[in-house]
Amino acid sequence: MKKNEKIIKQLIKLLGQEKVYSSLEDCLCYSYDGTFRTGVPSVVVRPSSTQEVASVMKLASQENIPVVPRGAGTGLSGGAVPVEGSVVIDLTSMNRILKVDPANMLAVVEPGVVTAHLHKTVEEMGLFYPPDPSSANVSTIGGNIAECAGGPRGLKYGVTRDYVLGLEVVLAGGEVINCGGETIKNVSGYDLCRLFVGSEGTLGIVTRAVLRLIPKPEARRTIRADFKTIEEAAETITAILSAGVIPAALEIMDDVTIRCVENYLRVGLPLDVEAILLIEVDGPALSLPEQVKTIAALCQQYGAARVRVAETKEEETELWRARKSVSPAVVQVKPTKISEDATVPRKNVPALIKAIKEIARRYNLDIVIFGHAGDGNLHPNILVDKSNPEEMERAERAIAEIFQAALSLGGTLSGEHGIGLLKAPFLEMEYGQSGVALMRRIKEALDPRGILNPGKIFGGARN
Amino acid sequence: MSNEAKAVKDQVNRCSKCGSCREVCPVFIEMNSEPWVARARVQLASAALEHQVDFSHRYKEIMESCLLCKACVAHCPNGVRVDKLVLWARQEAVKRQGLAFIKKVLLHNILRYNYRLDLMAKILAAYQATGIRLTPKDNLLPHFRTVPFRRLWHPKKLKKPSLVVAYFTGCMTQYVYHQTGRAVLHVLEENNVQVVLPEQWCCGMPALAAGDLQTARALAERNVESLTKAGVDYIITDCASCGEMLKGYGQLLGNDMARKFSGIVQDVSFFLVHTIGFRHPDKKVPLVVTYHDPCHLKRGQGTWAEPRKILAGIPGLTLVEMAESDRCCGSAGSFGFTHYDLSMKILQRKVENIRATGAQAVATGCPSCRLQIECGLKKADISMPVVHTVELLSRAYGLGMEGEAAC
Ligand SMILES: Cc1cc2nc3c(=O)[nH]c(=O)nc-3n(C[C@H](O)[C@H](O)[C@H](O)COP(=O)(O)OP(=O)(O)OC[C@H]3O[C@@H](n4cnc5c(N)ncnc54)[C@H](O)[C@@H]3O)c2cc1C
Ligand code: SF4
Ligand code: SF4
Repeated sequence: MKKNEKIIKQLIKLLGQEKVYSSLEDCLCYSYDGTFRTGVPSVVVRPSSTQEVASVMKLASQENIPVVPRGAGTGLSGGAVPVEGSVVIDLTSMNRILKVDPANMLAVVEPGVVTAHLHKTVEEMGLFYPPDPSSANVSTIGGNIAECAGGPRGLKYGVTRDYVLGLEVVLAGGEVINCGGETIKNVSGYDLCRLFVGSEGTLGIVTRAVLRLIPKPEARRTIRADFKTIEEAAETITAILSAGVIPAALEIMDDVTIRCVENYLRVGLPLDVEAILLIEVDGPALSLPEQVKTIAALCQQYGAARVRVAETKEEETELWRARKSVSPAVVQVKPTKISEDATVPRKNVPALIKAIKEIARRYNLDIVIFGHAGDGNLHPNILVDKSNPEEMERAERAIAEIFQAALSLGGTLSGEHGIGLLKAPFLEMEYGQSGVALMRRIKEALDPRGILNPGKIFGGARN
Repeated sequence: MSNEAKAVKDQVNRCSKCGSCREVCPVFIEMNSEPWVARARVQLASAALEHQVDFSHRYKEIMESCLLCKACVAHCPNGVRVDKLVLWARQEAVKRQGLAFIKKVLLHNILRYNYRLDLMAKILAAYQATGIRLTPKDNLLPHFRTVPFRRLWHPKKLKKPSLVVAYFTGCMTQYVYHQTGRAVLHVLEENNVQVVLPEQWCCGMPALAAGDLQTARALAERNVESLTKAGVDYIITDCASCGEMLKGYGQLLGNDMARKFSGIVQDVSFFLVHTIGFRHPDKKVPLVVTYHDPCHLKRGQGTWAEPRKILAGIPGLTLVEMAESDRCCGSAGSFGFTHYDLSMKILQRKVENIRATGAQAVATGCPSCRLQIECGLKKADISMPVVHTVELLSRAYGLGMEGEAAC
């Protein structure tokens, strides 16, 4: 690996020795994210203020060195996987919640704040920050913003984008800008906040965020329904939403997932059904019994083989246990899981599931399907063994076909994980040449030298 | 590829790099940067396997800063045995570069010989009697006894015992916490269990943790031979680390005799609850107690309900659970000495959790944890005794508790 000693010296001068890691060992510890891709950076810096981030960016742009921002490194599309020779900016030292303002219902945070820490802090004050990626216990707000993270609550409450009121961003040349602000309404100029949300660290580095909060729902209830066919499950979902009930979560597990989980947990999950739906409603305690009744009745009406309503906290945990155990359960089958997030309009969920099953059969792969059925965001997980190159190759071809299937059903490559490295080759499939060219022009306008997280979203080498 | 390398590779491949270990790794929580988390250790082990890194100072620093507390293992959705990877990494480093001088002296020249250990304890006891303190780390040293436990105390001969067990006393009971050893003898006698004390050596955990497989195996062989000769029904431990180590002899030595040996090792609390079904005591012990789960007992041996069952069986005693009762106290054998500041930070959180319970005493099932927690409480100016669970049971059977050793 080529080391740029001069740059390292300058970085140390800017930030101090203890905030600069340059040994090969340290760089290896920053060479991955939540995917199986890796890349070794030349140096890692751990700034603790906006000024420090700005000074690093200034240096990087002068010297024309690629920079990779990084939160907790849980991303599932390779966004934080370093480009060889890059400077990684680890933002987790900037982890203060600067203010929670109950009157204006907002929080101002640094990018390294762990999502669950924000959840806990605001919930103790009766407030609520809804975006809830399953990785919330470790993921950072900066990473959530850069990926526009979603989660089970997306159906009712929306995703990260819907809660970002304002951002402070360090641009490629080291300039610091603010967009949006602390108001709910704001239409002055272009909506730059929306541009930066989901930009995967390719347009700027988020150093501060103003996040919208809402009142914490008073109570919640959970229902589980088992269905003999996927179609019945899908019809039930449409029926529930048409009846005016919007669940806080509406999760689906397919038959392969159910079998894996049952093998692992042995809790008596039904093995003769094609789908299990887990439905959670929340809101004022008084409104819940009525909602639960409506949902249970609709499940029954649309052919559920069995409906269970959790009456106690323990029962609720028990119902969720199967869903939460999917990760440990599936790795019992094969050690490596590739987690995709193809997303389609809700009504096409059964068609997508069918298509994925067909692909799994053709490529002779184990694919479990689960995810957020309420908003059409499925997580087909392909179970493989990383050390088997032939199988990995089959998996890659299957993934390309899954994307194709999602797009032909009016969907998108990614509902919440982002494009990063893994899906970059497919972007044109979704937006066409002109669509991607426009995105490139935006990228070039903000980052003319192409130093911010190069290779991500668009693929290829720098520039 | 050797079988060992294959096993390492298998574990490495299981890691999906999901980062969930960032939530629980106590070392990461204090240091808050990636190299200190379990996932990074997996990556470095993998790099070592691929000959991408040599066993540099930084590499060893990262591998040595692991508590082997298994919090990551228990939490990992893929069940990656990070502790095993770390041990492998340490062993490889020792294989290539040998042990650091001081470790070599301790492990090769002292740990393997009981009379030298006896002598060292004696010297330390004498040093402590002078009242001199050379470094703040001295506070981590327990009060050494001048005479080792097995020389001082002998089990009573019972007429018609229901079972015969060998008591593996462990170095801490042997040289420091005699009160635990006496309680074990007493409690087992109360339950009509004949105890024997065959010749025995250090369990080898300090050597294994330092990557010194050779010493660990040598000690394991000696213990297996000596304790097997005793022909007992069970081998009982009062120390979570010794217990886990002895249970691992089968795998470590890979022979039938060792496997058989490991199969009859039981932690004293497990033995009391499941094997013998301990007699419920009648004396009241009016104490509010909180219980700390040693890593090597809960995650190492799956024993956490049993000590609580014992405590629940003591009349007058109230158990209040502390938050994160199974979070590592930061002791981890010699870790407290080699990583003093870090260990103290981890300990601080434990002490806060203990304080918040308002309990009058702390019970635990591992003498190392006990020593560490005693230090933490003393540093925080909290006067609260820390005892082994069996000491409370012994008291409920009527044996007086010896003055709790403070550190
Ligand atoms: C077990 C597991 C479950 C998951 N579940 C979900 C889920 O339910 N929903 C979901 O949406 N995602 C999920 N994810 C994916 C991942 O957790 C999210 O994408 C998360 O937002 C990433 O946050 P991070 O802090 O780990 O970011 P990283 O992985 O470190 O970075 C992600 C991207 O953001 C960029 N970035 C990071 N910080 C900044 C910053 N301050 N400024 C600019 N760019 C930045 C990086 O360059 C990279 O491109 C899951 C991942 C795992 C491992
Ligand atoms: S929790 Fe397990 S699988 Fe996930 S990164 Fe840590 S060691 Fe790897
Ligand atoms: S064993 Fe403990 S200290 Fe070591 S990596 Fe796992 S959680 Fe961290």
